[in-house]
Amino acid sequence: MAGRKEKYEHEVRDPIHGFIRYTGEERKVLDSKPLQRLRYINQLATAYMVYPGATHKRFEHSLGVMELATRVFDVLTNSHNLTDEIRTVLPELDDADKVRSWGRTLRLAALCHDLGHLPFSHAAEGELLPAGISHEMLTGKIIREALKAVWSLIDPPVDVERIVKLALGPKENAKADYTPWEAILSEIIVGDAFGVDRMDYLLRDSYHAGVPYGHFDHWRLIDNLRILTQAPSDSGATESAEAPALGMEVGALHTAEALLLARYYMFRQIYFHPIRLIYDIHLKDFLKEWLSDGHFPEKPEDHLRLTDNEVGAAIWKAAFEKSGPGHEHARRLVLHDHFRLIYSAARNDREKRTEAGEAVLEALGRQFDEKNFRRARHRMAAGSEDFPVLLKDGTVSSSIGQSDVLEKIPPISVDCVYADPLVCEKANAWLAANLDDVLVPKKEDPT
Amino acid sequence: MNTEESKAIVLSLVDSLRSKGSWAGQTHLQKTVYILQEALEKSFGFDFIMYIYGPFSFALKDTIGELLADDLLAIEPQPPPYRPKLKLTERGRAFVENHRLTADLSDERLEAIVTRLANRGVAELERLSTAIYVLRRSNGSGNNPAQELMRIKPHLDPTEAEEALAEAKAMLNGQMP
Repeated sequence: MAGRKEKYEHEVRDPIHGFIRYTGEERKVLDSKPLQRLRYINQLATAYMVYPGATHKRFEHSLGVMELATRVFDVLTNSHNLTDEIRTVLPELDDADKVRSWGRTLRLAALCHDLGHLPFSHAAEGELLPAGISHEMLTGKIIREALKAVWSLIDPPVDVERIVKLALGPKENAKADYTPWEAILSEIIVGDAFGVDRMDYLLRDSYHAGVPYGHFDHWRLIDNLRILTQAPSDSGATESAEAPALGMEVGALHTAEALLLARYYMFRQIYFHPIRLIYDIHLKDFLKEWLSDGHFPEKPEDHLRLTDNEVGAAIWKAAFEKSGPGHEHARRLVLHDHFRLIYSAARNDREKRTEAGEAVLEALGRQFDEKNFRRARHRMAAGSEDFPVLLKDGTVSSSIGQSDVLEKIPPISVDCVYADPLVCEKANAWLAANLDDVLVPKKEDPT
Repeated sequence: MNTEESKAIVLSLVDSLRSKGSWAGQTHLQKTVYILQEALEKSFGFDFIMYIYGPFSFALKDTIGELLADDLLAIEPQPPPYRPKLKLTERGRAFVENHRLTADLSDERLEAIVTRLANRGVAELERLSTAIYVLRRSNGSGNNPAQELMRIKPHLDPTEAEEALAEAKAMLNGQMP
């Protein structure tokens, strides 16, 4: 860390980043209940049902994000990597003490960024939290409330609201005003293009799942990250109207391409794997019946009592007790008796109906009873990342104009329908005979 | 307004901006949607925050991502150093046509405002949208809008700030499209 005086007294060995070191003050946070709870939250929800090795936890991911955030911060704040223009826009960079203080804040924010995750991470989110509540909002509450006593022990004192700001980013913390500097720091953690949250989960998930597609040259990528003004948005943009953003030197542009390709393949192979998605749906169905009032609690103290262990034990119990809540869904999870993939929207189908899976789901439901079917719908615009690139002549250009690859990374659109094994054969036969009719566009569909 | 109608509005705006000569990049679209929502006092389904130098909607950013993923919208690279433009795909055009039946996409004042904004660059759009944001937030608070505008946009001199606020006021009062 720039001008660093911190003494890293402790270290742990990490399979992705080697030794991760931390201070005695950071250890107080690490040893707290909210952080230790992450040892019992799977990083990839039910993905281990398809990729048995993917049993790693949010705890080591949080350490990894802290480590990578520090490496990125050190590169970005290195005086050799700063232009005069950026120093003008971000005066914080000229005060070594403030930079050091922000570095400490960034590390704590990175460590705490996932505290609000529910059991089984994203799989159980969505409709299982009370309306208007997200896991990011829970993260903010836990940092402010559940860690209050820990913050009072930290020396020098930390600004808790700054930690919340950097951990959540402006998208999930809309009521807070972000200065350009705070926006850059939060982008280090949660940014779309180069957020270290993303970098760590790609590398880590790839390693544990045994799927090599998530690897990319993160060493070179991080070494070439820079704070830059955005490239001009139009030919009349003569003033520096755009906010500073994370960008990179042109010589390492291929590493950004590799990162975004890694993301594309990891989403295709793991995060949107059709069988993993149906297990997530079975889990959600179980939780709706098992949780009192069908929702996770939103009070931090109640939230912190629940981990994958409690939910996993309940699933195991319910799977063998016919009268227990969620028995049928638990049985499917435990005995590998998931609904079968009966339909996956091909590009041709999506060209007929944008929401082809919805049409198939409704038609099958009418024909065979809707309780026998489920649908998973996910999408990702893979190639639209536009970030500034520093050219060798010192000017800044858009990544989309500089890279032959970025714009060509295809979007991902997954639209799957699943059937109860008991009706699968009949439903398959019916769908094969009727799919063309089912996909006839409604008037509000594009074609 | 439901999600599909919001998407149809966004696609329609991209098309309208392009046909009227706008660069129609993501920033142009962000500022145009904000100005339209405020001037027409009509929500297209996007909440905005003041993000660094101007109003910004993460919900709109996500919607653009979905439209790209569904092949209704496409990125059009520009020669270096410029950022890309957005353009409708054939499917996106068909989507708009189909939703014209259910969504009010041909409001006269909306078209007039889009025409007025289409030849503005990002710097001007940021200035105007930020001025509108400042006026909305300072309404009755006693704060000096010009000073607040220059705090958010330090590049502006007092004359530019007053001009932007005057245009913003006229637009909010319906005195000009």
